[in-house]
Amino acid sequence: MSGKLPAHPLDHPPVGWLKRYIYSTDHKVVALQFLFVSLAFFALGGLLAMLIRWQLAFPGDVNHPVPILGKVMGWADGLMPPDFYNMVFSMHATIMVFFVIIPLLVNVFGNYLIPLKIGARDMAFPFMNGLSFWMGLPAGAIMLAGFFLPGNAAAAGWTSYPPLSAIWQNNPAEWPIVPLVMNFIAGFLCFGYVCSHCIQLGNRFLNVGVSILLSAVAAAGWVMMVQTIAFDGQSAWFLSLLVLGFASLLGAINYITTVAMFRCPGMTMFRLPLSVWSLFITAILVLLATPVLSAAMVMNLMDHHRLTGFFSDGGVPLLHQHLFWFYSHPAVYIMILPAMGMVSDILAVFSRKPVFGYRPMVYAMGAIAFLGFVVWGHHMFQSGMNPALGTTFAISSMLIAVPSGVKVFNWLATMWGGNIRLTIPMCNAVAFVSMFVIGGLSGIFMASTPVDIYITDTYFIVAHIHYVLFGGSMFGVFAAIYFWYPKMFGKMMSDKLGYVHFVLTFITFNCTFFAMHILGIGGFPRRYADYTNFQLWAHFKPMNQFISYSAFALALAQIPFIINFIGSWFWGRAAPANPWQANTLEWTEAASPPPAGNFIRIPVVHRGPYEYSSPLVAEDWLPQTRVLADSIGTNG
Amino acid sequence: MDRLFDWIFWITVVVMVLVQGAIVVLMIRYRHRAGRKARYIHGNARVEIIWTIVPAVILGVLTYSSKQVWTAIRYAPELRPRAVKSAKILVIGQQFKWNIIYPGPDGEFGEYLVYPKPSDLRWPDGKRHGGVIGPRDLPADQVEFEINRYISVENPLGKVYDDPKGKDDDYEGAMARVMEVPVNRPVDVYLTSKDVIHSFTLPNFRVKLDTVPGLMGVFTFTPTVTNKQLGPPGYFEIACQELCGQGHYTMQGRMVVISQEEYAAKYETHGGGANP
Repeated sequence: MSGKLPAHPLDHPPVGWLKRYIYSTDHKVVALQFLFVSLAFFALGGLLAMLIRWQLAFPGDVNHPVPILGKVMGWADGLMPPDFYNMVFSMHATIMVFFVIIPLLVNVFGNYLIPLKIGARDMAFPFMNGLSFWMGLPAGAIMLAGFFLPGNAAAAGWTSYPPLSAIWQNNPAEWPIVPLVMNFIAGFLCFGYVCSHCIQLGNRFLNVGVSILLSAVAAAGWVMMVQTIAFDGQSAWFLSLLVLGFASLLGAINYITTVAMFRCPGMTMFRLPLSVWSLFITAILVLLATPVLSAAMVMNLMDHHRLTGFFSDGGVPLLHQHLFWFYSHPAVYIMILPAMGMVSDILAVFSRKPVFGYRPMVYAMGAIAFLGFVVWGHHMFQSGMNPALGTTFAISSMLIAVPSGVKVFNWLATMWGGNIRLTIPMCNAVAFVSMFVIGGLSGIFMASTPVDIYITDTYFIVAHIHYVLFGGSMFGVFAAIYFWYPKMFGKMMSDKLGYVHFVLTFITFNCTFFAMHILGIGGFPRRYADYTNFQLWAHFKPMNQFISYSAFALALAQIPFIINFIGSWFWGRAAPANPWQANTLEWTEAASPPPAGNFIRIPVVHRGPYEYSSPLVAEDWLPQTRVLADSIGTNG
Repeated sequence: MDRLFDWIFWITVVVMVLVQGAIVVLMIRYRHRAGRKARYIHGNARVEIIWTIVPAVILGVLTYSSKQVWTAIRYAPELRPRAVKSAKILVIGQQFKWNIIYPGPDGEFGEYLVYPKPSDLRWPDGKRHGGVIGPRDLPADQVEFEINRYISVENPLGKVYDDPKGKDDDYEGAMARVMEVPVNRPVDVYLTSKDVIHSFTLPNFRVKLDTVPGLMGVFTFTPTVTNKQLGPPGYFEIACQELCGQGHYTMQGRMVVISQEEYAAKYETHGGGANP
């Protein structure tokens, strides 16, 4: 935050620093809190990826011990043990999926954009909204606690298939001091948030004192409970996702209610920007899918404590896979739909054209969301389930490629005939389309059941998922951050650093992940700590080294982004309210950054969000709120 | 299957080149110029229909051909004429080795993977272990030790000895041995697991299936050339491709294709234990 919010008549009554910046219920503050925490997790997940790449470039090579960590951990010859490698890729995927991409897309931009773009002052349930962030913290702390336990963090892959995940990594014992303190702090902050809003004894000092006392007691109880339930890395993993699931649900209920009930006058559903549509549909996916994951996590926890045998000990291992993928396939769309929506907005703004086929775009997203619930079995073609189901899920999986294709063609048609400004957000948005096409096309190989027999569990899958989640989602996130940064922080980002970051990321990303397709076609297996004992794959070592060097370069390419992100906040040029000449409410009606309450008065909307280059006006943009003398041109 | 892969490969390559080309062309052709306005178009129902139907048709064809190949592979034991006698092999996955079991002359497997529970009256093999006839008679502090010993040492495959079908099975020395299969004869590989999920993969034959504890999966393939004809290294590699723990990457097996006569002599004329 810039520290100086412009005062205006509708500003909230003066509240203390704590409630304005820390325990705030303001949707923008919550969004920024999510943003900072997710980016920190992004750095951690990225470093774990570097470890993976180091291991694959130099498996068992005593001349290349793991830098720093090899010494710190005291490994023989500085070489990574295979169980540590399993832990590293499990946690890399877990953190990137659950603590980076989902929060970045759904929580950061859901929180920030929905009220601003629909002309609302805040979310429908502001307290619950803050709670979804403060509940996320203990979830993160439990996940991180795994790293400090004697058996190390979860190492059964990000899918944690039982019976492997039912094996104890260490016997139940008291936690070491570091995770205890970490979880106490996280619990204290979470309970403190609740207390700060619920305890009203009339006297400020009394309030604060009682709040601190209560939070400390509650946090102590929380830590005792958590260390009993989560005694090893794998149970910490299950418990963390259970808690995180609750936090996501609080957010999802909020977004759905807000979009349904809090639209400003004139903002019909079909005048919503596509980003809001995508976040709305995503929230529905979160609401319907997350409880299934939570149920699976509870069952796994009970199995882990040897209380039940749902999945192991005579239970049905495939049941976990069904439940897990019933959540995690919709989760794939949770991780891409918001990026699709935001990219649609950005493409329209910088092509200075209406989005081509607005309604087909909405219907396509609806179709993707619906079909997303009936394709989970394509993760399980070789799992040993009934082969007849293989054909069923192949049909639905092929079907879901159709609406995805419709979206791509509509994006291209949006650019066609435009007046394209290649700003940094636009570069990232176009990269999103381009990378998503590759990720989507490689998905067809997997949907074809016989081909999947060969390529499943190879690097082809790894390439595919990274083209969708990094090439797709992360370029979408970068585009969105570059696009809305002026609104969020009231400062313009540096163009030079932005282009450097984009070009380097784009090149190194493709060097890293495109090569993985080739490994995959060679049958190169996932999750192997060392492949050199196989004559089938030992000769892929130079290719792996090329990928690793590209990956290291990709990590370094993020440095300009970090400098730009932090530096622009302090030294950036002040941003005007509408630097991109965009039409939607957050640009035309709110200051940069918007004050508490967002708008001076609630806007009234007269037309759709994409009236660029309209013949009705001389300039090439026509804000949603502008009243035209002859009041026609309300199409869209 | 490889033909299907090639088809998908070329279709996706063409689509990818066209779309990426289109992106580049659009970015150059419609780059920003001062004083020009973009075309004001909201959409076009006809093109929307075209680019919904055309990919749908292509994908429909791919789905249909996928289904044909898939059925032929996964339902091979049912679809095959009865006269064709396949070679059956039971593979039991275990951290971090493959157990290879041949059915012997009768072509049928006995029962495996039956292990004692603390409440059982008798040990499953009918013998005495720990000096008693069943785990229930053991003192509480010895039960776990004796059961673990049974599972890991006494009867690691959990074989049921009095099953008539299993009398002639070739199961001795099953652990981590080289799997031998006959040439030009369908091979049905039955798959299950003793502990966690593994995935039995023969990359050279494009087959792979998870081995799941409690489930019996099967896949079929037909080798067309023996390793003798192929020359060095004289074997094909078997890999595990489902994460199964710390030694996942070491779970390497070997498969050798031998002539039909050799296979029959070794595995189909007499019961287990006698093979060299």
